[in-house]
Amino acid sequence: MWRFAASCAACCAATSRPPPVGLAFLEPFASSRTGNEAPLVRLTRAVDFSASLRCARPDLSEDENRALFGRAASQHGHNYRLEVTVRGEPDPLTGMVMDLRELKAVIAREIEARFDHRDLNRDTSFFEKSPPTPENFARVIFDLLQAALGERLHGIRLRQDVDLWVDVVGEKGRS
Amino acid sequence: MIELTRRYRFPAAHVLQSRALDDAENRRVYGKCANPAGHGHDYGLEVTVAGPVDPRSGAIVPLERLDRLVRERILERLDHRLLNDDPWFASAVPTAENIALAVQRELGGALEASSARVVRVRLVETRRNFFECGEPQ
Repeated sequence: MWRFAASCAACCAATSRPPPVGLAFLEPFASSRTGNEAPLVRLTRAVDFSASLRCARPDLSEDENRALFGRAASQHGHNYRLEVTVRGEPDPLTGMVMDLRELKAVIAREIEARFDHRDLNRDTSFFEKSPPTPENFARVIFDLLQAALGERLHGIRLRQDVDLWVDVVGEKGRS
Repeated sequence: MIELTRRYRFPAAHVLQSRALDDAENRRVYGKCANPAGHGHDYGLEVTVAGPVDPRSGAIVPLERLDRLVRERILERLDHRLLNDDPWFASAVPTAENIALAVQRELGGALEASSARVVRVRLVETRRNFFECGEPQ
């Protein structure tokens, strides 16, 4: 199915371009929801951190690791950007889905304290058996945050660089 | 649910003119995009794959494989070209919508031999508009 950027209607108006014919143009996002557990609001906070890593498996030789992971088999580093999305109905009193100070503190405690300016292989125990590929690292981060935030966590986006990122969304977040 | 997205780019030119319309109507419908001499964009193409993470490699799909697929099927075809010349747009105006649809059709079943699949593409035409097709997240 099609989804259009929110700016598309404005763009079509600005350029006098017609809406595409025969497509479900401007179909409301809400129509794709399942209906029962649809969150009203999703809130995202981003944080930057830097770490070094090496994608290699201890059960493989240097040559095998090089063949499997390429240049990532050498120690290197990334400036990661992590986007954490929580969901919920805004509290009727405060108007907030979640206190941002609490979210910031959870991310600082669970993620930054563990990973910022660390070596993912040597300074943590998460990657002893599986290498810190962006997929595995995103899963580790999601699990840590879910343990701290519970049902409030919708999902995360881990950006390894401007051209590569991984999304992990909890089962109930599928809409 | 886990998905990996890789971003590519390809500068290309196009002219938005429908053969079903005359010059005045094309100008009215497509505005400055109907300029017969053409215009161009630095297109961004975000390709999203989903599937189980292979326990051996820790990856949904080897990045080199995804890069090669997109390079061979899309970039070598569209990069630095006039899109109107491509057979994909012989009977369809190369609007960003139709480019995104063509790319999704081309990449949709392309990783069949593996457990990964391309679930979505997003074509970023400018900083202010992008067009997405495939499965919604």
